[in-house]
Amino acid sequence: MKNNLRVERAVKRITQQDLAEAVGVSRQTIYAIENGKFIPSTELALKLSAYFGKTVNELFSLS
Amino acid sequence: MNTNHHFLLLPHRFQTVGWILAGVSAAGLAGALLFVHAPFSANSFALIAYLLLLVGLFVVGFSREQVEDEFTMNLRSSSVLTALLVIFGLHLVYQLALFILPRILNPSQFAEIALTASRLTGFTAVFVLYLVLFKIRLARFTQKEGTHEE
Repeated sequence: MKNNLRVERAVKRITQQDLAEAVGVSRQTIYAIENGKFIPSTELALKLSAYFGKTVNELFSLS
Repeated sequence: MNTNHHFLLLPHRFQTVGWILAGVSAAGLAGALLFVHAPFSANSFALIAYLLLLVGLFVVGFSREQVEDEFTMNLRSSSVLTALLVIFGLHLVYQLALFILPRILNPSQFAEIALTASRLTGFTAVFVLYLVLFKIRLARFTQKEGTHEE
């Protein structure tokens, strides 16, 4: 599973901590997702897509 | 975030209580083993300290992290699974050793080793290994994150 979280975060100029607080998870969780160590639940993926104003498919894709 | 999946955990503040209890009882246990010259089973101070140490570690292991979410729960689950697999493997070796060791060792040596081995392959060992694995994995992500922050 690949994701564009780091890119989208850079576009918005926000830190992992900012994003974590915005979607209600820990910084470790954002780090783990960005580095492909953890695949988020549907609920968290939807929260991330809502936060960035992108569809889930634009943020996440099968590798 | 939906918190239903960690309803069994104690509030985060219990971690501090657990670490203090574990630290004090570990010191007490060390003192009891060093200064009271009696076997562990007859050393009531050591036994109480050991039980309090387990309670302290139990409280730490089952208290929420500052931010408890699906990732920490995932780490907990994988740590429990790894601990179960490792200890089950040790348990198999232990069971095998029960057949072999009596042919090699004298009865008192065998009894001592069997008692130690049974402790290392029991529920307590599973729990302690879970706690160690979980804390190490969580710390690893915390450290890496700091160095990769953009």
